Amino acid sequence: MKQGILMLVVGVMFLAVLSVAAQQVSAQEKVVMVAKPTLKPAPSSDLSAKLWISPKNKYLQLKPGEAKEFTVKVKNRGENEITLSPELEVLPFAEYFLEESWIELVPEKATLKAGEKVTFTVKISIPENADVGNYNSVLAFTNETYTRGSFPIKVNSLTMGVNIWKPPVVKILRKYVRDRVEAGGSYTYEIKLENTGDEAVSLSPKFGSTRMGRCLGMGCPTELEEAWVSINSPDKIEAGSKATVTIVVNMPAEAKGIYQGAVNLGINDPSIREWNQEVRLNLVVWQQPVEPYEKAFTVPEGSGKLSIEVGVNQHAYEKFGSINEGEPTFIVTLVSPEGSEISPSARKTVVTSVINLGAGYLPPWEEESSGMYRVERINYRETFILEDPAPGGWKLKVMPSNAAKFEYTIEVE
Amino acid sequence: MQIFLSLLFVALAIGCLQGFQGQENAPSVTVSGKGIEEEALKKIKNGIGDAVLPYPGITYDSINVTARKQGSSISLEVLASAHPGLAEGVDIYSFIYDPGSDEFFLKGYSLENLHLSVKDDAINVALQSDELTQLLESMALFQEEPTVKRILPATSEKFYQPKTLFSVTWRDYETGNVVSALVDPGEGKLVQLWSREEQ
Repeated sequence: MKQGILMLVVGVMFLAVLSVAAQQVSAQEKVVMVAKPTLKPAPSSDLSAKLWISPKNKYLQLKPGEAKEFTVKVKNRGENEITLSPELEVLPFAEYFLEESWIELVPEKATLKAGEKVTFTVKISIPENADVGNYNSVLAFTNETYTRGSFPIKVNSLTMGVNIWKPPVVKILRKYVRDRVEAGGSYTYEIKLENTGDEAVSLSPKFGSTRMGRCLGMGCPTELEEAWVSINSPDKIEAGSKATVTIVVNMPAEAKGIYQGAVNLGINDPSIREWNQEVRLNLVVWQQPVEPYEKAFTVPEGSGKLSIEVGVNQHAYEKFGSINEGEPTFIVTLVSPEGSEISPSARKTVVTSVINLGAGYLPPWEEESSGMYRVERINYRETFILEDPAPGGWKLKVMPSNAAKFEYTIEVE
Repeated sequence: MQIFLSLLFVALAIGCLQGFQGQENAPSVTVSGKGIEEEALKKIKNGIGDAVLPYPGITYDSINVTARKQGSSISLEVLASAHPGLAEGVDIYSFIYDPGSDEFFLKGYSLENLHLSVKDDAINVALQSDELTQLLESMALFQEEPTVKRILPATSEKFYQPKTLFSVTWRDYETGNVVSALVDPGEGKLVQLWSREEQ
């Protein structure tokens, strides 16, 4: 039993390593040449058959009922003659396995003298009734194995992967909701669905995600609580018609920061994988303070001028969301040593921007914008001045609006 | 008398409405440029409205042109935007104007003056792609705000079809990681994906 658990843990770790490596390669392959993750064979001196196989990996995307052919070349790099009788082996960690009856190999066998090579034609035919998913198997040309962890790996093999897919019958027209919301507010998001098939499809949306491990550690968004989310949905979408799933999020008054969650639409469409029918919610809570920020400071004897500068440096896109924000504003109040409140008007307002000229790496379809100005950051500054301030202990009060942060400077001359 | 007053009222109402619409449709155009002849500046002011290409359904509220002499031609930097209630962001064009033929040649553009719902729809279409969401996750870009730029048919043709597309781009300025999706809003699908990951 313990061994079984250990095998499972090792298997999961191995899968995780492969999956991370595969993701990185897919991301980097488009621009940077990187080494593909290949399994290291055992030292060649241990092997009796030295084969050169190309390709070592083949991945296809096929619909049920489709078939595809490809070739694989095998060369005998050893000194002895060898007979190849390729056999299909299953991978211990595959989601589904390619069935032997789906694969046709020509020739079925081959005998190679030293230095000879042969080209096999592999035809993979997916039956009409195959389930959607990722299918993997190994075509082993010889029986030689080496052990990686607890798994015996075929040395002279071709790893084949087929992603069997179907075009979704139900189209999800919105799978991502991102918004800036207020604590205590109620927000409604409509998810429109379209059934392009000729049969009704049932729906049973539920709050919760099947995708795991998106963000770990500090700075990660907080999970939305199920109790805050209500879902209104028809129980089916008729053939050739549209339906709307309404998600209402009631943010609690004490909510702060970034919240994320997901609603699984529960669409009974086998072409849509479980994790691919999630509507992701990403909500940034904005809480307007009710009390001003306060800072005490001292004005020395003989000072002639008191300047207060308040400002914010924000991203050009920070206004995105349900809350229609205007430009940042600051109400500044000064409390004198005698306790009287003074509300100076802004003497100077400065708006500065950081402009990007598109000198960084641009997607190929954005190269027309190379060298053009794009506002990246905007800096708003307001200066309040008080002439001949009385010496003693003062208090600065700042009430910000439309600003998620601000900076201030107190200058006494 | 009553009929005459009614007709007068209707005529005035139509006149007011037309005047209002006319005012709304005509963007405020400013053209500036040192050392450029008044006549050329006037022609630029009259012609720029037809040269720019706002997103369908959007009418620019203001067009600001900065002209610079470039040999016998004039280079124009054009910043155009609709009323903030209609669209957000700025459309930037780079034109070469030939005073001889009175023609405008589009040299470059960066078009972000779009209604938020249009931007949101483009982002949502892009996020339908698992390959994209996997890239965003693996390159830690999910928390970044994407930019949405309109791609004109002449550019789109090189990558897909000659139609207006959207480029939805996530970028981390600190790491240099970029992921961009080329989206066909009419078909509601992602047509190309591009990424760059700093090593």
